[in-house]
Amino acid sequence: MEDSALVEGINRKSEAALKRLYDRYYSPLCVYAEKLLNDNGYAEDVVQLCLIKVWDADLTFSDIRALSAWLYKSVYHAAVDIMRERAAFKELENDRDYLAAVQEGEAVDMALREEVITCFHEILDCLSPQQREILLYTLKGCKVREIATLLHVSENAVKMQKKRAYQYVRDHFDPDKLRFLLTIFFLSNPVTRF
Amino acid sequence: MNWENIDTSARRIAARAVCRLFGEEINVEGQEEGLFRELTETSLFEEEMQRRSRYNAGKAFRKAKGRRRLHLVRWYGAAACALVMALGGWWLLRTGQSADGGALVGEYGIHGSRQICLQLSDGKRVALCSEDTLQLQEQDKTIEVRGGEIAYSGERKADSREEVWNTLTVPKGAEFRIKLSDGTVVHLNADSRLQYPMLFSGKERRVRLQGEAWFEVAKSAEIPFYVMAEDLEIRVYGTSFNVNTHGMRAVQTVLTEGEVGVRSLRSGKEVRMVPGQLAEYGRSDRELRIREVNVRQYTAWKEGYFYFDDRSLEEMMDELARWYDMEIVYQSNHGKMLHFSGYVQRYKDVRRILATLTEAVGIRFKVTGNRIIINN
Repeated sequence: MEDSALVEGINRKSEAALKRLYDRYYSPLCVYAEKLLNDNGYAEDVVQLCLIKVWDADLTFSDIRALSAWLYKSVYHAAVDIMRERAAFKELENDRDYLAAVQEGEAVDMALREEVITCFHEILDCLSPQQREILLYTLKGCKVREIATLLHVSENAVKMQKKRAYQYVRDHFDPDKLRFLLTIFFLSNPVTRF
Repeated sequence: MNWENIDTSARRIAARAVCRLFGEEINVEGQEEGLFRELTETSLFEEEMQRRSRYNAGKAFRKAKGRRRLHLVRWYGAAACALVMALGGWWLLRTGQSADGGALVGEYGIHGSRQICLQLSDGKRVALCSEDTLQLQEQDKTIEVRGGEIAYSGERKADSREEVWNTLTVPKGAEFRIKLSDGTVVHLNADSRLQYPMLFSGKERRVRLQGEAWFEVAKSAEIPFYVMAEDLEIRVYGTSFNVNTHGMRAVQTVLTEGEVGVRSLRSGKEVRMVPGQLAEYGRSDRELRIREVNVRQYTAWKEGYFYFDDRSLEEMMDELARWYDMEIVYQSNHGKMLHFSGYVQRYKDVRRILATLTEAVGIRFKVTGNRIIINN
């Protein structure tokens, strides 16, 4: 499902889109909540609470950016509420170190970290199986020659695949390049050029 | 960086990290650089994916679909409470919004430090844990214990005169299900004990209960099923019902389905019950009284909820104490007279319930170790 279709489906509360919402965001948000709360006991509860809101409440999103922002922000605020509740109880026991909730700026950085992992994973899914293997071996620190041996292909084939892969990724996934391409498209379009 | 930029920024970092790994000379600047490096030079991706794999999105989605139905059910509960409040001016114990995301049924036996214990006929005691899977041998029969449930199976021996008795003890803060040899399922609540024969023999089935349990009795026209609870005898004709001897004032039997007869061993008179009724056997006057009730209130515990209907603070705290295995200390008697109605999820942490109470009526609770101290 395309990002725009996902957002449009969520705005209509389509079940398929909501399923996709869970597939894309549930685990990352749980890990995010777990890190914010410094424990995994409530992580799933917090995330469910926010995702169900998308489902039940009268919420619509303009695009995937707004959706991602809303989800991470909501989980952050829900986690802070729990931390505050905990702190209130802990205060009765004269223990103040629970008050250390994560500041908003830091929470944004942590959310970015989760989204980077998700995007990385999505790009990997779009590669050919061989390209994906090459990438994972590279991540493990393998050199071209080693990868060629492991995949039973020539070194040149590996190099070729790598080049093709980065050109494809650059043209299809880098948001800056995408904007650049769109600009060229509009500039070269005779109707828009006056 | 702000929330709205996360998506674009993440796409840029991820795309460029992939390109870099494929050999393109490319970089990102500024605050994005740190993440970019981690992604290309460390095992960040693998570690994070590992961490994510512990969460199951498919299961969560199905749960959420189910919970939306549950949400409605709870709404009715809340509406009923509001009515009670309007009529009598009682305090309403709100469920709190966090109930939406709370854990559902199925997380049992996590609070108690003490063990669930199965005592075999020779007096040998076996400690059980809700995650355990084990097989026990008793008198050439096998007992299966699997994830919070014990199952007995086997043929009824027509010729055996002697029944072999086992005792299951569930401590505070736990619960356990047991399937008896005739197929009857008993769900034991916290701080309860059930004595039963491994195999039923003869012309009747008889078990003994202390505490609270939910029974789903397997139908059998010829062989009646009896529950002995203190000096009460409940005769069952194939049915679902709840028995509770924890009450301070009375032993309670609630029927949801089928038919049972309740008989006090002192008077010997049997009273027949129909579904929706509660039979209370008074501890002081030894009288049996029958009345119509909202059954849900008495069976909510087995679905993972507390349901309080015009209960005093003291009664309510007793129930919380049983489930969370806590001791209650009153620093003043002031609040004991307050009455509550409400429907609240049995959270892992009792403090979430206490917080709701504080919010609703202003009673202050202090939790230290396994004590709840109440001061106004």
